[in-house]
Order: sequence, then C-alpha cells, then structure tokens
Amino acid sequence: MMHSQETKPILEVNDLCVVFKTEAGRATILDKVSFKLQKNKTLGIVGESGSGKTITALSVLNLIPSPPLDSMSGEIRFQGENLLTFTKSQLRKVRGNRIAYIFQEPMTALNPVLTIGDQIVEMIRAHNSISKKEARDKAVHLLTEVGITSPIQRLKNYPHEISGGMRQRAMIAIALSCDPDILIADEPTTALDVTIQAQVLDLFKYLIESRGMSIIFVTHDLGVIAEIADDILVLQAGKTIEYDSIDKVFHDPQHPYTQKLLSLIKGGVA
Amino acid sequence: MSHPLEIFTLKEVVKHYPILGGIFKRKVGQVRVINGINFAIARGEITGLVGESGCGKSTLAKLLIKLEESTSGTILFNDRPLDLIKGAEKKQFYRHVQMIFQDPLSSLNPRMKVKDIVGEMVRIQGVGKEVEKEKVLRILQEVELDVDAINRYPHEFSGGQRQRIAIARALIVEPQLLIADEPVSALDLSLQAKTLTLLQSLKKRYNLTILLISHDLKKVADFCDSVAVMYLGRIVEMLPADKLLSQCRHPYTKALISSIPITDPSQRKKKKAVIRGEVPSPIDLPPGCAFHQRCPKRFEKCDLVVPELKTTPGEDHQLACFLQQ
Repeated sequence: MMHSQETKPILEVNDLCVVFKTEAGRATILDKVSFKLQKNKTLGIVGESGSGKTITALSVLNLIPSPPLDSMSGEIRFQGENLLTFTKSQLRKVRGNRIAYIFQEPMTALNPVLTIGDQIVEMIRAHNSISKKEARDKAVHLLTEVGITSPIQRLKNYPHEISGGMRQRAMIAIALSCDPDILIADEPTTALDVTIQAQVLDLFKYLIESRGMSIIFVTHDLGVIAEIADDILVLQAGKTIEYDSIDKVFHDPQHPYTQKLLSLIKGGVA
Repeated sequence: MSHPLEIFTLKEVVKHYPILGGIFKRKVGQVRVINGINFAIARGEITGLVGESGCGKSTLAKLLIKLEESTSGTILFNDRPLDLIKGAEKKQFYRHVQMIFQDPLSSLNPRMKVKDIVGEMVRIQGVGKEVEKEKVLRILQEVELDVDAINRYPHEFSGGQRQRIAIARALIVEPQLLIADEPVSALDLSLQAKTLTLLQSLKKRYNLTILLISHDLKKVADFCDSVAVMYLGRIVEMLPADKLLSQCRHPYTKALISSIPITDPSQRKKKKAVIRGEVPSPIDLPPGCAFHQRCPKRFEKCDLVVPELKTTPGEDHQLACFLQQ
C-alpha cells in the first residue's frame, strides 16, 4: 500500500476494533483500523468530530475508560510486542516513558495546584531514579529545548500564570521528559492562535529532526497535517477512508470524502 | 424610520478594566483592553473582525450590545449615542441588535424546548400564541430545521443544528444587526461552510447587517465584505475582504496570513515569516505602536509614537503603520 523503503515500523496497528457499550446497545467505534508508524516519521490522523481519531490515539496505550469501553481486538505492536496483551504494570512502564501524550487543552491536562516545575520533576522521577536536584536541572534543560524563555522563573509558575502557547510548550516538555520513542499529540494546536500555532508546529518540526522521534498527530485541520505529516490516515465513522503518503493524498485523493475535505480547505467557503 | 449608512459608529472608544488590590480594594492598575477604536459598521454589509485571543474582539462586541459601558469615547447606534438609549428605547435597541455565540450548547437553556427558546423572543413582544407558533415554524424552516424540532431539547441536536437554533432565536425578532462571535469555530469544517452560507442567504432575505468576529482569516476573507484587523485593543488595518489575502499592508496582518497552515504539502519547504513572541500584556502596554516588539520591520519612530488609523488616499483601505504612510 505504501512506503517504498519498507523498514520495520516502530508501531504497527493491525485490524484494531473498539466496541463501546451504550444504553442503546453495542456500538463499533473503530472498525478494523490499521496503520504503521516508522521511526523518525509523522503520521497524521484526520477526521471530523466523532470519526474515532482520538479513540485511535487513546487505544494505543489502552487509555479508554471502561465503561464505555466494551472490548478491543486486533493488534497494537510496539517494537514487536502486542500492547493489547500487556498487564497493567507492563503498560505503566510504556506510558509516558516510551510513548507520551499531549492533549488539546493544556489547561485541563496540567494540574492547576502544582507549579510547572513540580509537574515536570514528578514525571521525570516517576520513571527514573534520580535526585530532585538532577530532575530540576533536567526540567530547566527541557523548558529551554521547547523554547520557553527564562526557564528558571517559569518552573515556579502555576499553569494559570502563563499564556496558552507557553502552557502547550510546558506540556510538550513534560511529554519529552523521559525521551519517548513515540509522541502522540491529540489536537495540540487547536486551542491556539494561528501565530502561536505556527510557532508550536515549528517546534514539532525541530523536535522530529533533533530527537529523531516518531509522532502521531491527531487533528481535524488538514492544513496542519499538510505542514507536518509524512503519512496520513483519514477516518470517518470509525473506518479508514484513506491511508497513504501525504503527497499522494493531497494531490490525488481517491475517496470522495477526502476530496470533499480537501476542497473545503483549498476553496474556502464553498 | 430612515436609516443612516452606518449602523454603528465608534469614535475613540476606550475600555479599561480596573485591577483592585490591597486590603481596601483600591485601584492598583488597569487592563487596557480597548485603546481608542475608530470604526464603523456599514449597513447591509458583513464586517469581519479578526485578531488573536486577548486583543479585545469580544469586549468590543460587549460594548456594542451594552453589556459593558465604555470608559470614554462615543458609540453611535443609528446616529444616536448608545449611553442615551434607556428605558423603552433600550428594549427596542435589544430587538434591533442580536447576538449569537461560539458554543451553542452553553447559550441555549437545556431545560427549554426549541419552541420556547425561539418563541420566548416574540412572546416578550406580546404577540399571541397563534402568531408565535407561526413565526417559530417559519424561522425554523428558514434555518433549515425540521418542523418536529419544536418539541425537542437542545441536547438532542448536533452542533451544527444547535447553532442554527441560536440563529433562529436571534433572527425571529428581525434585527438590524447580528453580532456573531466565533459562530462556527466549534463546528466541523463541512458544517462551518454550510452555516456561513446559510448566514449569507439569511442576510439577503432579512436585509441584515452582520458583524462576524473570528480568528480565522480565510473564512473572513471568503465570507465578509470588509475586514477590520485588531491588535491589542486597536484596529490596525481595515480593508475590503477580497483584498485581505493579497493586498494587506500592515506587518501584523501579513504575519497572521503567513501563519495560516498551508494547503499543499509541496509548499512545505518555503520559508515562512513566523512572528516571534506572544501578544504583550494589556496591563503593561508597550509605548508606541503596540506591535513594535514583534514587528520585523520596526524602526525608531515605532517605539515612541502610536500610529493612527489613516485612510490611504483614493482607496478603500485604512492602515495604522508608519512604514506605509
């Protein structure tokens, strides 16, 4: 289907099905979704609300709460091992450490009563046995890496004291704190202004180059995907509509739904 | 009633919020949200208002609908000063100026049926039950909702349908001006286009004037007649919408446009002019042009003097930048 240079993918999802239990009966939320994530590449997952893009991202680390989750089937292979067969303690070692998340609204994802510094240090010390001082130094280093000016002062700030763009940078710093192999970003720029969005996207591009990370980028904005992704997975109502390299999808979309989505961003108000 | 060309005229409008501190809650500073706006909304047009969050777009809307009072300056509604509109006249004013909000679910009462949400507007005017029902049915038809919607509650609808209920509620009283504060930002892409097209057709039918507040420059360029770009409580550029993407001159407007994500991955290699930094705090406004700290083209004068919004001779284009004047 894709990738001329077929190397071993870092993450491989095969026939992932997610079923929810609702009052009205069982609902298939994801229906046989498959994709591969190569090292140092970015996969964009696009779709409208309710298409299952967030559920796809959450299911990678088994983060969907039950209820509503009824059952999951298929395979999620991370470096060869099927994450769906992992025990809770095994998963805990992967979550945050090897695969990290960034959420849309940093204000709800960050703890309002802890300083930015406390939250980064907590994350580092949860996965590494190092001293508080070392963890703090690492936190300063991380904040500098994500482009936060005067990081030593920022460590003492609470989330509400800094701007939205800076909060999202702090979230990225927390996600990077354990040197993950994969970063899953769920609408990380949707709540930001266009100018700040452009800055954060530049930061992602820089991180992909400097750290050699793989990123799953979930968004409804095809423009953002065009900026950053190598491959693209288009979902609609839990089904894969199109999955191919970014150039192919943008220049020669096969499915009418993708064609319509693209015409909306290219032509504006139709 | 004869109507002037400009439905709203703003002259040097200023809105500052005090910051209270200390034991006696004395004023210790002020948040300067709106800093001298000269602006007019032309009748029968769709005027777009764009800018980053915190630049004062929504505060401006609040001033227009008398939810807030301006600190200084004059706002004229149909040539009548807004602060003189009181009593019975105020009731009429609220009929003529209607507003729709970003998130329809939080602006619709979850315990009321659609027929009451929409019908309440005309019930207040004292029309009879029969007329009320007739009006509700007609307006729901115009916003393309089914007739059986009247007996349902807001949570039973999708986001796009809810926004259309909000539109129906605003338009049932046949206002002159509709203020739409980010009306489609919470909707999916395909619904955004549909809702905006609906607004456009309703505008023609109802002879409406629309003020569209948005942060999406592309939507504004496609959908509006003219566009005002705001930065830190001032309007920095105003021009016809069809010229926005190609002929804007203010460095801030240019930066906003270059920040719009590309639509074609092959353009990725092109270097974009991403502006650095964030919007300065309105508590601690920089002297001179508010944009000078982030401006790629600043020179000495920008740090000291505030540029005024001036009309370019012979053009329908207003600009507040020394570079171009």
